[in-house]
Amino acid sequence: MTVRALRHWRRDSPLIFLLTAVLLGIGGFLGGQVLQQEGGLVQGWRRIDTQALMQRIGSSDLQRTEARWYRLVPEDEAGSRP
Amino acid sequence: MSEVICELCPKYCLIPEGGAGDCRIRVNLDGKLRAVTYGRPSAVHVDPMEKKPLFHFRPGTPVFSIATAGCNLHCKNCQNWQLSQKGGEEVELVYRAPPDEVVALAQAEGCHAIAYTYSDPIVFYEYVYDTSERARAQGMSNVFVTAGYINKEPLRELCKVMDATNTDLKAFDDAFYRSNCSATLKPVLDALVTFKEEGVWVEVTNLVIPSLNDDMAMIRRMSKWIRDELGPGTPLHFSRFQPMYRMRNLPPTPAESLVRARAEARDLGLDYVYIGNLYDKEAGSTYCPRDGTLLIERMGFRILANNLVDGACPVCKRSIPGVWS
Repeated sequence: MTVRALRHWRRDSPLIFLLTAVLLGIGGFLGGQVLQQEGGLVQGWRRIDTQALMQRIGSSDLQRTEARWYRLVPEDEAGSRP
Repeated sequence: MSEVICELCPKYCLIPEGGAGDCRIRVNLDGKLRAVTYGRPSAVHVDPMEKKPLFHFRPGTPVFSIATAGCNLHCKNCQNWQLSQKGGEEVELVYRAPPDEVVALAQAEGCHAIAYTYSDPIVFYEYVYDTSERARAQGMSNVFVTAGYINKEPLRELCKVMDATNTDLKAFDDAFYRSNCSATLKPVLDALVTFKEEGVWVEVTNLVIPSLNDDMAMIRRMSKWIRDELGPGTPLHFSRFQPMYRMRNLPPTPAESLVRARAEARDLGLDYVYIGNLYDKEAGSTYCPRDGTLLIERMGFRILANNLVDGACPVCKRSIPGVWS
């Protein structure tokens, strides 16, 4: 019985390891999102549907008006923040 | 890849090309930050001034009210989430109304004021600013209905063209702001003080949510802060929560909580404390703090009687703070 169980374990362990890793990964991602929200400051930016945006700009539904109160990040600083 | 940092609000979003700020409508295109909803409101209405709510600013007058998509806060109880929690490209209904046209439309509707409202007008700052300038040039007033999450410098600039604000003070608790609104408390308090310093007429709204911000000790601290920093004549509106958006698990605010909050704020020396989203003639009306004379009688957003004489109590002649003419 013990030998059979050991054999099963050896056979299934990669699958179990993989499943555990995937679950940990999902848990970590969701946990991180919650922590960020709880922290209150989801700083950074959002991905948007750029194609849809450009279409709406093309049809004049939206605009390309330059905003105020921003600055360009110097090349050597770019990408240094997540 | 040219990244930009938006310095409009305390989030300081670092935005790569093709991305948007946390507000969804300030977009980095070709290394320049673009206000994509400029001149493209998605909500346009004529409202009574009392709906903003502003009770001490031109009472009983209509106000032309506009909003575009987007918001820099993400309140779980947002009333206008279909508009505020969307990017410009996600909203189907878009009017083409550049600043001059907004002013002309407002005048055609008989409005002498324009309100930037519904979502948070901070995020469509440039549109607000340009429209306000043109409105001022036509002798009209501008009203900013906001959560006040903005940096000082842009706010000071905006105050030059703004006449009144109703600013949401969502709770007197930083943890509440973080967990429910994706924001923090201090910049909001700073914004309220800045409005006051710059001579903008200020009224404050506090939405009372059962179990989250209805603690009377916190309401007392908030009332004391308003009294000390903004003055006892600052109108404070306690508003009733209704379950919506991502906060449907809580009940509407019991009337007793609002009545108690109002009593606490008045005890601490605030002269004009109102209850909103609840039909209560007494708690929605204005009384003289000296002799109790009924000055403005309201029912909901309707004015039933305005007994003020030149902005003062008709009996004791005490001047009542506000913009009455």
